[in-house]
Amino acid sequence: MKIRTKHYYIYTIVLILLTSLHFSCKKDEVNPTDEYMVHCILYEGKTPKIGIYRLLDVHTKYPFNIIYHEDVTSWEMEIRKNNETIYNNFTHMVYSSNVQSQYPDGNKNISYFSNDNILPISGDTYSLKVEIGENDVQTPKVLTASTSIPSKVPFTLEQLPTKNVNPYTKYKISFTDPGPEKDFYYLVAMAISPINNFVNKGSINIDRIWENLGSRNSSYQISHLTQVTSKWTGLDTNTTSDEKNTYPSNYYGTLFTDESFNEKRKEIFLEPIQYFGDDPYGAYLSVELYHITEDYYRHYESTLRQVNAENDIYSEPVQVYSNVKNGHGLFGGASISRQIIEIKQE
Amino acid sequence: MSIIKLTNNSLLRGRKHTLFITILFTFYISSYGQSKTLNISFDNVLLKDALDKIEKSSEYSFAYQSGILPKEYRVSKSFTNQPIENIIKELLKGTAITFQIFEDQVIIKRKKKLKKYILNGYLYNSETNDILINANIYDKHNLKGNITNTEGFYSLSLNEGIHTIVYSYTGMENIEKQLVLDSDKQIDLKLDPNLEIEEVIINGNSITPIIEKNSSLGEMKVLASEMMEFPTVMAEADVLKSVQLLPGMQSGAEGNGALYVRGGGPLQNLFLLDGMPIYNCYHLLGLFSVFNADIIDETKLYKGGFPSQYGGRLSSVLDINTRDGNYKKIKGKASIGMISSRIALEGPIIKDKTSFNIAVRYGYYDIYGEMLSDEVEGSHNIKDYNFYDINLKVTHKLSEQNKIYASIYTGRDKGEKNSKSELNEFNTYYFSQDINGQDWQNLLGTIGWEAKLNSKLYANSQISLSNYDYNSYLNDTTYYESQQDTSSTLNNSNLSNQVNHIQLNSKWQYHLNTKTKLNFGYRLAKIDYRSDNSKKDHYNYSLSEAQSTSKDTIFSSYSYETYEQSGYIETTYDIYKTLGFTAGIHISHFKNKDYTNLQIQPRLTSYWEFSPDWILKSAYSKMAQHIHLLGVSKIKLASDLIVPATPNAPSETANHFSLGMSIYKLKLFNIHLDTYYKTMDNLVNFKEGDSYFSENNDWDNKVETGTGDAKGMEVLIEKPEGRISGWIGYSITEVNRQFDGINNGEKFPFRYEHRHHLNIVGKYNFSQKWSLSANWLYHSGNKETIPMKMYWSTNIYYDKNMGIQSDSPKIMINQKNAYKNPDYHRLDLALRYKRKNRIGIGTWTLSIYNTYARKNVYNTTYSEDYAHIVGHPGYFTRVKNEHYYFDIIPSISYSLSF
Repeated sequence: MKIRTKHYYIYTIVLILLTSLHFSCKKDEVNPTDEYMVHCILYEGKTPKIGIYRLLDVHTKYPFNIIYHEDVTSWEMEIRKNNETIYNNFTHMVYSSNVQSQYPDGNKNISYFSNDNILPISGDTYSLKVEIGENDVQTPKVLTASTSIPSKVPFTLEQLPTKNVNPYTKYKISFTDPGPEKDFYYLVAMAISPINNFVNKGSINIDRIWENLGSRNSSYQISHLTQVTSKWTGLDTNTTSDEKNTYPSNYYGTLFTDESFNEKRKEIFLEPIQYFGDDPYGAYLSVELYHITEDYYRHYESTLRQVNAENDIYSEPVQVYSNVKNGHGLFGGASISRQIIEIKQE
Repeated sequence: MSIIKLTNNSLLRGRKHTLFITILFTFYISSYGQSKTLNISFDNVLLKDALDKIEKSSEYSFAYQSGILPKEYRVSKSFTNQPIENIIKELLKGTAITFQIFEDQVIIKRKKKLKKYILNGYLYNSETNDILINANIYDKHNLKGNITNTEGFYSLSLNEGIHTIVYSYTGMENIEKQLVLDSDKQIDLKLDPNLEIEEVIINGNSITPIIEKNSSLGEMKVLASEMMEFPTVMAEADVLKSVQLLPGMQSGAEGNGALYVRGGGPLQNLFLLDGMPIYNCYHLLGLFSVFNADIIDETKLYKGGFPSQYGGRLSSVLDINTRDGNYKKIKGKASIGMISSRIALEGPIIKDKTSFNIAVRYGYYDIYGEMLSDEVEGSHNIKDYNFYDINLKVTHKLSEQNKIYASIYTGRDKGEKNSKSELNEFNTYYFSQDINGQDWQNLLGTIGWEAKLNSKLYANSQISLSNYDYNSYLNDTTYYESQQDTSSTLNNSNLSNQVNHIQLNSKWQYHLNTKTKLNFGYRLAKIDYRSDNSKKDHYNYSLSEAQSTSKDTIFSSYSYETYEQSGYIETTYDIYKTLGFTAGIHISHFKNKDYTNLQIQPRLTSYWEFSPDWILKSAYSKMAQHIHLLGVSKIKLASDLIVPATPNAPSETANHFSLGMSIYKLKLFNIHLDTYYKTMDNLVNFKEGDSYFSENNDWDNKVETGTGDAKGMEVLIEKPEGRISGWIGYSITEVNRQFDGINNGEKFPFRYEHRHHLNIVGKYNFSQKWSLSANWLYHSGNKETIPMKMYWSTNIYYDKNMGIQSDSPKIMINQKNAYKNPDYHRLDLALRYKRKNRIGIGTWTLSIYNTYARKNVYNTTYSEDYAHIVGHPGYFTRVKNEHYYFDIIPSISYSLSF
């Protein structure tokens, strides 16, 4: 068949269609570029620690993929409170790790930034802006995020009489969910056993314990009591509505929402089933109830799921939630209520 | 006497034409009634010669435009003392030609208004009396045509006149039949098998066009006989592998037989075997399909422009029909290969009345397992893996136009992997055994009735069942004994999935008039779904102290009884000879306990042949499916669960728009261009971190529902004839998914989106005995979700790090399916030698899969390699592990047809 002139128009149209489709399709491959991570949780009444890191490339070839940590060297940062007060003067702090063996190059110091003037207040809103303009980054990156500070949720903690032999006893935690909006919580319980007789309940500094967690502490042994409660039901909540739910929890604590007790009184029964036995210098139970923002909850809930799914071929891969625009990480808010009681040994 | 012959360039144009007719008309008026009588007879003479004879025998002369007389039309008639006008009228009857007489001048001309008549009938195989499905029937001159339906019936709406109709079917001798269409006519024909049919490869330098001229947009056809021609792994011809060589029909990954059509998932394809849906159509972990090429007639597939009769899946329909057995004599075929052996037998039970066709295939894995790369974990440990399938079809003719049939398929895969280790030293005994097995089977049965009730009405009704049963199990046992103590663990897990489907199906076709055809039908199905997915763990920590724990975990357990009914009505209307459309609607209703879903699915296709052999086509289809596949996104597994729609996971729907153009006979090529845009709703995906092994009894609480879209263009360049025949298929595609709870709610690319996909398929016949076929396949790599970045996790915060190991590197998954595997490409070759022997025709096939041994990645994983310890203890590297299945695989098979 002879090709008619008019058919060339059709060839042209087809070519244009093909070309336009080609360019209308999004890029087929995502090339990892420089990305940054911000990590900061504003706890009510506590000076924040702000970490800013450059994410490392996973797939550089051996032996060049041995860098574990890379600080950001050139940055400008500001935190605004209620869009009014501006904090832009931060002190460069260094954290020393105790896990020496993890550092091939001997560098065990990790940077973070702090400002003593910032003492977050419940109900206030804080926003973060970080501009990173390192020498090897062509276009400065601006990372932004904001968070509110939830109110403290007071609770009571009491040891319940039980026929069981210590330490397999039962504790009751009671609190009231504060408002109609959805609330998010993180519950942490641990047993603290002084290893000498110079410690009493009044001198226990939980914050200090946390900061040195993982290191050998000269004053305490710590048992994280909720480690066995992989399910909410493991905490024996005494509420049937919760029995169908599985709450994300880990070695340290349990995340949960007020879905089943919005604006109601909630009682949680803590029944440790693992304990390290007699303590010659007594033992204390520390329970912390974190009232956290949704971003905080989603970030750690997804982190926990990612840890579980990481090496399971069946599990759907998990992407960690971030509320940092143009970057990764978390800028979250929380208020901590804490109770410490002495574990009575019968 | 003189004959005036007018050519296209002569007076019959423009004003001159009008003037000439006016003058003649004046003569005609004045001379009307002066007819004379004539005695004349014609015996099989051409019309032109007949007119010449009249001219010589009378005082009349004839004037007509060159080419107006049908060239090959012959007449045999005799007239006694008949007026000349009667004779001419009788000669021209039905030819769409009329005449006028002006004194002694007879003007022959075409009729201005032509009537439409229907030509219809049945086509049969003259040897077997079997109906011929999808045989071609077309007018040789204007190429207008149609194909026979599943009852072997065809229907053409043609202008009155003389037509040369060509009847053709692969492997059969063509019939050209000239006929005078002056009324509706039924012509039933029997085509003779081509005597060299068994040697179709030897002499056949052509292949049937994949997209026929009268196909709707998105419709393609693959013949089983031609499927045998192209190379596949282990020299096994396979329907799905062949289909995946066509643009828009893609495979997932190496070793994964699943079909992905225009961005859809594996369970969005409707596989019909003799009208019955089949739920898992794969053998050997997905390497082959269950469709035995020895008994298959042809495969019709739709990737868009779906006819209204089809429903229940979003993305494609593969309608596969088995052949009726031979009604006259016993015939058979046996073959032996490296991975399976087959035997097929067909023949009459009652000659010309009842026939049978049976095909049996048995597959063995051992040799195949040895061929696999060492990278495939545990593949060499799989023992006793085998499969079989049996197809049986019995057909009984109640009359020439009325038959009943029964078709049965059963097939099963069964494999087990057993690894054992034992250690006995230093007064310590340790024993460990893992037994991991799976099996699945399909059982299909259909009883059907096909009939032509009258010249306009056809019916095909079936009652059928499809039963799918999948089971897998894992038993881990360890035993430890020392002088101090003894301990043991026993873990058993089981996963089963069953689908039982029984349905009544009735399809009707009514030829309303010459331009309009009506299809309608109804289907009622009861589909049951069941699954048990549980684990039992038993630990004896210390037998001496009798401490033991047992834990039963149910991952998922369900049982559903669902009902699905659907009806459709569709009309095909030809507006003009070159313009027409098909409009229809498919309505389905689904009930699963309290969940009901009604889906109204309009369908529309149109064609416009704007220039001879240049056809513009368009289509819109709404599709719905009341079924989901719960799969693992990291790898395609046979264990993926089939579940029904529920309130939490409602029925999936899709809107499919396509626009295409086909160009036929452009030099030696047919060129087809399709563009499409498809949106999908209510797709399901496990939530991030979930799987069917995560602890939650209700599967639909573990899934997210979301949307998907796909857009693309497909080009198919066919060369159906010539010494080298074949095609080139190319597609460019973008496919996305979006779920609120996945990838932070942002769109992400589909794992099996192959942005660029290219197939080059060719066949070359060296001689009567030798032929070579080849295909080269290239596509962009699959997408993966693997960590793209990492960060350092510290314990400097008050948040206790939430379980992330302090002071350690932590991976970060930036975006789902953001990593692209290396591009895939391979070359397959098949050399065939065919020769007659005393028994029949023997064929040796030497096939080479992946000729240049490309290591094509099917899966990439991320890991930390502690083996590369350099410097400080605990210091490791991070690596990507690329897994691949096949190197080069040569194979040989022999088949004998008798």
